[in-house]
Amino acid sequence: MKDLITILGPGLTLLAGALAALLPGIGSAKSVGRAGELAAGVLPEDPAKFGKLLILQALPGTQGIYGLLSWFMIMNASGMLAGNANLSWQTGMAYLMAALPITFVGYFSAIYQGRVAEAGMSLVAKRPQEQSKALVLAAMVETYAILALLATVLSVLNIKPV
Amino acid sequence: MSVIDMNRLTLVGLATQKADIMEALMRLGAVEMDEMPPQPVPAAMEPYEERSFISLNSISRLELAAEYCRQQDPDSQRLGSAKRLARPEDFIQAGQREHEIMAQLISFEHLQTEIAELRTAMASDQTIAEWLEPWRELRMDLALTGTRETVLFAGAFPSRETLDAFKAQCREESPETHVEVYSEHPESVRVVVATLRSREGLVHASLRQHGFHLLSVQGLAGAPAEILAAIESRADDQQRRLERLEKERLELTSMGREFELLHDYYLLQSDKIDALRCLPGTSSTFYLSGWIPARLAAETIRALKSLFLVAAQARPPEPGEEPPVQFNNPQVVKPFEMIVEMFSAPSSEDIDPSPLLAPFFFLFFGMMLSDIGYGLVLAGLTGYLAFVKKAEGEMGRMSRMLFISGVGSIIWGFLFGGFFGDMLTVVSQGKIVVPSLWFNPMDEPMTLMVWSMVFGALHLFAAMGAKIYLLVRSGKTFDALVDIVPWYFLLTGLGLLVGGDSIIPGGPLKFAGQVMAIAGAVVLLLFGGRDAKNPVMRLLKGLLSLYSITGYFSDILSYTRILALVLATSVIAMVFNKLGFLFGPTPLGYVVFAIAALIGHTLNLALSALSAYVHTSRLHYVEFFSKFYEGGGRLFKPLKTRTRFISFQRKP
Repeated sequence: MKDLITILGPGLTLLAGALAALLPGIGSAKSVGRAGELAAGVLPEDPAKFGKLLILQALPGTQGIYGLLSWFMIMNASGMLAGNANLSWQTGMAYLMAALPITFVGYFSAIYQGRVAEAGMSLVAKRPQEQSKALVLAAMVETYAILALLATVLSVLNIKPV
Repeated sequence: MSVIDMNRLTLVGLATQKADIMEALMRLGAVEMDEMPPQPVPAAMEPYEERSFISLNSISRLELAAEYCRQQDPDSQRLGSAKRLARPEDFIQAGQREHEIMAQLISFEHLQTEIAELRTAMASDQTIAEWLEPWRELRMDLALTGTRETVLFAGAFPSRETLDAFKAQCREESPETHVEVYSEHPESVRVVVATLRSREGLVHASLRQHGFHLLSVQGLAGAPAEILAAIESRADDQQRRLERLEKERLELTSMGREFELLHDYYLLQSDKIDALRCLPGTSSTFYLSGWIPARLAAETIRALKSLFLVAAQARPPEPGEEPPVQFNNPQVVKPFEMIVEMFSAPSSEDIDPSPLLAPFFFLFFGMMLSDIGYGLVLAGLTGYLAFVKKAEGEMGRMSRMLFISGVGSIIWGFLFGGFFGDMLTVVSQGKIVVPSLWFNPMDEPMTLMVWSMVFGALHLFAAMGAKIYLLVRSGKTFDALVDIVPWYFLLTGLGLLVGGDSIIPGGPLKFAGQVMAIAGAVVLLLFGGRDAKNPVMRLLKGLLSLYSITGYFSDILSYTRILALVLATSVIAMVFNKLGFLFGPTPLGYVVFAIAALIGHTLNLALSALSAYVHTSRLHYVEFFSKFYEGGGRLFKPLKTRTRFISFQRKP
């Protein structure tokens, strides 16, 4: 029982980092992938639109980066990156809670931003000069990923690992 | 005001002078014609239709040739993609010499085709020679693929084992098959296989199954040695011919200038024909209406009247007419006009937001991508494009905009202390730390969050100021005083209430904040519902107007994205530095680091710059513009001499 409690701290912390990198990463991969398929469908009509479409495809990829960023912050702040595994289960739990915003909001905002990006690609296919509007529409969704990232990062920075 | 005043121009002229008037207007480049459906024009009135070569086809052929010459001709190379200066006379001359130039174009194109064909022939000869070289000693006419009863296959097995396996299979399936080994190497055994025509399918399948490579030049006439000799003997000839043709072509590239001139001349003529098609009129007159910048109107009309027989007048726009918009901003602000254009050009109700937008765009982009290294790379690349390559059009404006923004990144990089993240610290193992001139956002994220919101509030205040200006301009000074000004008090007051004590402890600022917030709220409460007659309704409506505070809060909170993007940029950079330096301070470690850093930072720069651009735009489109700017205007598109390669002095 005592062993279980000693590994619970680092275990929960690792879980927190893993979740933060995992779900937003999956969401971004899904969205970037689907947007890429759509872009490849548009390109035969007009290969010159490659640059414009690539930028739209990249947009829902940021959640994956925010996930990695959160993982790094958790690993760094908890000291696990430096090899410290002496964490109480309370600290682990705190990191897990702190990771929740980016984990879930990151995943879902990536999916929905991907859908806006795909719709934006159809817009760019018809009217390439409207690319910036498609960009801003997709960026509206990202706002919530950013807010969640802030919630996670500010929580992580304010947890004192014991 | 940074938008040019426009006048409405109407003009009636003689049909016989139509083409010349149009040309003069195109040279001037300051009149926008109303869009009209193309008119059916009697063919007799179209002197230019008869001209032989003006067609999209010849324009694009000239363009191709001119582009090639630009790249190859030593004299033209230094121009890069900049336009070549020419006198108007040269231009007219090119038009007069069109037959000569087009003849040159045709010989140039012939040369291009000839060279391409020769190259293809030489390449195919070379491939055949490579294939045949190992078979040189084979004394068999390759045209011989069999007799009436037999077939021959020449080719190679990948190894001795596969050959043996093939032989074994033949012994069972087609014992008549004979295999003659021509040469043997570990990786290929060259053989000629003979079999009965009736067994061809079976043997062919068996060959394929054992990885047999058919000599694909089979069918060529003559023994390999003869074919090789023929190829060798004509190779020299071909090489000499190629050199001669290429020399001729290089000489012809000095025609590049002529091609460019004629290309642009044709482009102009075809634009003119298109414009002429859109003019209504009678058989002997035509009518033109459009917009002209007010400061040019009088002079243009005078010039037109002195040169042609025309009736023309210009007048200021009447209410209800929506003149097109031409920006008039200083060079520093100009690149940022594109951000406004992407949203929507200002209408006659708006002011041009570019001068107000430019400094904030510079500020926010610089903060979001705050890194000395990234800023240097971004400003370097875009500066090279904008000032050395002199990129034009959208590309040029984008480069200049990103150049200025990149400079912002460098400044903020110094303030926050980042050079490719913490690259120097990692490489020097902690000996060098780039100091932050202000504070390090990694250590004090809360400070940056507060400052993000403070800058955000200032951004909103600037937008509200623009709204006040608009209200005062349209005579609604009172509305500005009771609808907008109280928000300055309320928001500043609330800000002081929350943060006043951390600036001056003891509460003086907090108290001032309280007073300001209450004063602002009271004014809003009293005047927010002033259009209601019933005093109770009026107070209730006033209360409701206070509810827009949620809008202001969410707007200000939206600026915390600056913190998130600063962290994203610098933390990802740190991650790449850490990963790249896994092998430590050894020679190998530094090499690995250089490669990892190059890839990682390129990726991070691309994504972070994109994020910074998109989110800075968003802060302007959503938070900033919603306070005062509507857009819906139309950009001024004057009829002008559109050229691709040449720029020449104008004469009105």
